[in-house]
Amino acid sequence: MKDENKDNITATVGLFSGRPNPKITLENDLAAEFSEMIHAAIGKEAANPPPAPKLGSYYGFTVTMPRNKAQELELPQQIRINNGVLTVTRNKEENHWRDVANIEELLIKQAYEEGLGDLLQKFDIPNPK
Amino acid sequence: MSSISDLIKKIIDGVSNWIERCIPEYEPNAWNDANGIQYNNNCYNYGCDIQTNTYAQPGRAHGITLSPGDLEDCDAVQNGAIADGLKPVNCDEGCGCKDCQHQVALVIWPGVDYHWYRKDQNGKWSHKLGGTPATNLDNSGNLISNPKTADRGNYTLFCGCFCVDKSQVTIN
Repeated sequence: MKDENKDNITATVGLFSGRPNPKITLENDLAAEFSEMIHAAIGKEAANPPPAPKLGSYYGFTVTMPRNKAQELELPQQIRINNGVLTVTRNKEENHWRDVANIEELLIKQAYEEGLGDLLQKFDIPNPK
Repeated sequence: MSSISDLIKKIIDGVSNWIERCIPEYEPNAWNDANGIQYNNNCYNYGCDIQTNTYAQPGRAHGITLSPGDLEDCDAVQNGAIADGLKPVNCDEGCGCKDCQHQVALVIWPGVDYHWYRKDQNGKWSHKLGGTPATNLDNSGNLISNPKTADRGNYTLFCGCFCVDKSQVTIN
């Protein structure tokens, strides 16, 4: 498990209803790659909201970062990615963009890298490799 | 005659006030802010109708920590909830009106997770899947009349019902 660092980008994997959801950390090169991909996706292609989550099914990633990190990377502090759709909430209004940069795939791969494979397979999320 | 009708009106008003005060309404907007309230309150928070913004865990407010190994059956989660002040009840009998409390139900995905439903003022059930929006629909998109028979996906183990008196329950 990586050390928690106040400067990190954290992605929470949406799996559980009751238990706390697992988290993965995006640091260094991965954080930079993630940032580039987000910039490549937000504002490019509008999308419909992802389908309503179902009990017992994967419901995407919630990516958060400290305010200074968000300012440094020129990103929103919180981004949700689910079923190929990025969602950014500003002033209580949600905007949805198609994940044209395959960010969700990157996050799933990283989740497998960080040892969440068995759990993801329980939710039928394969490793994109 | 008017004193009898006055009495009846008082009784009806009393019951109505009790229902309004003690049984939560289905008001998803109070939970679905697409921000801190929604993301930091889970099914247990919603079931108890108590927002702690801590993604509350049964028993944690009373020194109990659940682990994945505790989820093969209902016992650990039930015991945690009871430690928090929830009271087991027969689902069909419900919580009655002697105390100010509402009814919730616990289900388990064996070995994986737990989930709570709550019964609202309108007699239907609603729930909140983790940090996602509260809803009154099951996995098939149907209103939930009974969590025992609702489409619950992999949460196959129905553990039972409890009464929540918010003045007697502490969760964290």
